[in-house]
Amino acid sequence: MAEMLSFGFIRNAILGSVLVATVGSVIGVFVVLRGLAFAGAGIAHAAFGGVALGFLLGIDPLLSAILFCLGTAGLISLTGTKANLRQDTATGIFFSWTMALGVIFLGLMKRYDTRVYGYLFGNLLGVTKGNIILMAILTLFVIMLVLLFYKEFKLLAFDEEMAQAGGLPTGWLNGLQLGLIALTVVVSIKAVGIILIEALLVIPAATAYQLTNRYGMMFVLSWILSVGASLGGLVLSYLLNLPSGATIVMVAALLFALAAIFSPKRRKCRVCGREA
Amino acid sequence: MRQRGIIFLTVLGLLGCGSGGNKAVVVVTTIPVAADWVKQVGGDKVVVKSLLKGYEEPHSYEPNPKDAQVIAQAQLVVRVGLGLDEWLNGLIANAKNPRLKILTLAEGVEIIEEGEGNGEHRSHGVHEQGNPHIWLDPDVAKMGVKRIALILAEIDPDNSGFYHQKSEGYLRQLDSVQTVLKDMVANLKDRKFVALHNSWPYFCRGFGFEMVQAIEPLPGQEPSAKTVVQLAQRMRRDSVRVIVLEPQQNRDIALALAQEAKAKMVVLSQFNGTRPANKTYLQLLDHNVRMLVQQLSVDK
Amino acid sequence: MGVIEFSGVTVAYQRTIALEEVSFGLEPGEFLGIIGPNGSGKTTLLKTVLGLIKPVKGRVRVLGVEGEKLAQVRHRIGYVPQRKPVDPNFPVSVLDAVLMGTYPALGFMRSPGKKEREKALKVLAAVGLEGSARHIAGHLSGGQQQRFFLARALMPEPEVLLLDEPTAGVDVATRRQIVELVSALHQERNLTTLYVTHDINEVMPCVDRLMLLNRRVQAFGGCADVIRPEVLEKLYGIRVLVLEEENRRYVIVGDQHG
Repeated sequence: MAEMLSFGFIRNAILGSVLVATVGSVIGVFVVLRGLAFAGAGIAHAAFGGVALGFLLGIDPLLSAILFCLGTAGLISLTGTKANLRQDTATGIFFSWTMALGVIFLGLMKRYDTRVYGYLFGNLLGVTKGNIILMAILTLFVIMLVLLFYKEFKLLAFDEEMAQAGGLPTGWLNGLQLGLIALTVVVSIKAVGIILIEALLVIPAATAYQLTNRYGMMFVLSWILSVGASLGGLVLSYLLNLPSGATIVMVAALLFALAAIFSPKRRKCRVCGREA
Repeated sequence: MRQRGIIFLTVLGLLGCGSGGNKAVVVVTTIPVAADWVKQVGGDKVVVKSLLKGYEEPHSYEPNPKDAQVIAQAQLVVRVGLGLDEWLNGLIANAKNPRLKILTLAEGVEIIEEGEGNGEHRSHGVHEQGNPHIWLDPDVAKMGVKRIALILAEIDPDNSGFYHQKSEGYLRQLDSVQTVLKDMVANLKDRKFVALHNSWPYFCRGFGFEMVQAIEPLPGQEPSAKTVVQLAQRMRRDSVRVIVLEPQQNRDIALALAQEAKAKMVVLSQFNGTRPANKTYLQLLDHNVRMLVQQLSVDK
Repeated sequence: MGVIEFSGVTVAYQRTIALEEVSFGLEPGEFLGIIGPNGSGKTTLLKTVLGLIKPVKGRVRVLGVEGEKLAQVRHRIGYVPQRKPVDPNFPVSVLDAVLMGTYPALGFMRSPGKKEREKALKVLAAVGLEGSARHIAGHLSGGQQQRFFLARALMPEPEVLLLDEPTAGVDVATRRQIVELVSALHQERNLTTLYVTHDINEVMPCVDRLMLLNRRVQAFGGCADVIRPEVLEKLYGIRVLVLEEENRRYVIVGDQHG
């Protein structure tokens, strides 16, 4: 098994999935606490349109995916406020619209290209060094912004009305979070594919939510669980000859199930001993 | 582009119905290779159109309404069979063209089962009935050309002599190209390569190459980590230095393998018409063999 | 110089007129009770004070500034909004949640430190929650949550305190406690206080002045002027009984008991 590590593509796969786990687990905390799971799914599906556009124009599909996902995040945020819609509704609109765009772009392509479908399911073994560099930069950027706006995001999650009353620009902060989700999606596309990104956004953070009552600790646990699921899933997929992205998600889901059933701390308040 | 072709055919068809004299035989093929064969045999006595352009993934091609129209006007459809162009069935059924004759090239061909020359991969799904990429073997081409000449003579008996003559001429050409190319390959010390998709067994049979393994177990299906690791080890062990890709294929894994095994990647098309160098079938064979020979001849 | 001044303020909110020609002024340290039926614009008025809603007509002047500048003085106003249930599972302790009251005022990239923690503990003690500092915020009972919101509003040491129905949905005994708490804080810290409620009776003992609001200011003045049957009937549209006993007035609306 150690011989596996001698292969460059295996090293890239490990590095890639750790980066994805990192960025997904951190942003995942906001997704879980603020109910952004649907927005996350919507932005993930927008990536399909972005990738298709990239193939149509002949540019790097990850770059066009970045633009598309950020654009969709911005539109969801704006439409919610300007058109007086719930963010849920705004997401529903752009979720399907961007996918339809993707289908049209594919139809416009003169030369039929099966590579697009690789982005739907991920291609972890095909992660190149160039991909890793881009993923690392984006991950660093996302983490930096989360740290910069740590307390603002916390207040936004706990009590948005108070945040606004206190003078925080909640519209911008919400838009920023959606933008960070967009970047997270792009980092994850190659590793797990568009269809499974949602899982990495939601499951590790949801598991951490079962296990702790402390906000800061939620990030730490989410990260540990996510990286654990990624590495564990990779090893398992190798041994059992299964697709890697899906196996990682299975491990993450299993951890969640265990936490939900057996979680000791989560249910009892440390002070009053009351069950949640 | 496609639209003009359709209009052309339709006009011809109408003309043909009206005058009832010397009219071109309207032929539709599923793959461009077959279209080239029909053209070579039929000359200006046929009008032929291929549904696939050459870039598409043949197994998962989705026909559009215009394709149905073309079939409705045609007198002959030349298909491959063996599950490669299953999508044709619906078109034929809908076309309700009673005079349509169908020629299935796979009939009578010595089929290579999936699993031969492809390691331990089981055959299921699109290569269930055997590997369908039969046209890259010149012997298969010869058989196909003969059958096309016969069936054209059936449809258009007045010109049967013409078809016979043309096909004989083409068969001679095929022969000489085949000999030259086979010799080139015979002179190689190393004839092994790995392919992304298993489109090449008949090509190998026809010219003497050896495809060690296909990376994709099935078209479009990603290989697992273990498969890739084992393949990389095998390539290193057996000194396989060339990976063959087709245009528009996802090459990331091939790239990774190429780096690990210090192999080169070469893009070959299974169809003619995808680049200036391979407009006809003969050019396709020539181009593919020469490219591959070139890569295999490079010193380590 | 008045702390809060409204001149002819009209606010349109989601296609209806929420406030119409509202004018009043408050001196520093005044305790104003705002009474009115549902939909009378009470919450809108508070949000207008904060500058969260902009009037279509009229002038709003708070702590010496108006218009766009209202955002700048927000940190000097403590706001206890209408009670929404806190997510019982949100991973913060009461202490932590109170500390969040300082976040808007703290600059970018600055975190609450030891000083803020001590202040938070003190403020929790002031509202009677010192024992609950380590509880999960969402586990507090209704009345406790009200106190906690109050504590959080007090964190930035504001000069103005806005309360939107702080006793809604809370039992009678707890209601009294909350009102007394607010009154005590008002006096200790000389807070200019706006207290919005349905219930005149609970707030009457503490207020300096009362405003009866039903989109327009129906009445504004001291208790003696405002608490009169004809005035109250006009506000509520139904019969009102005013009882006086031992120098205290009790208002009974319809067959409800105050």
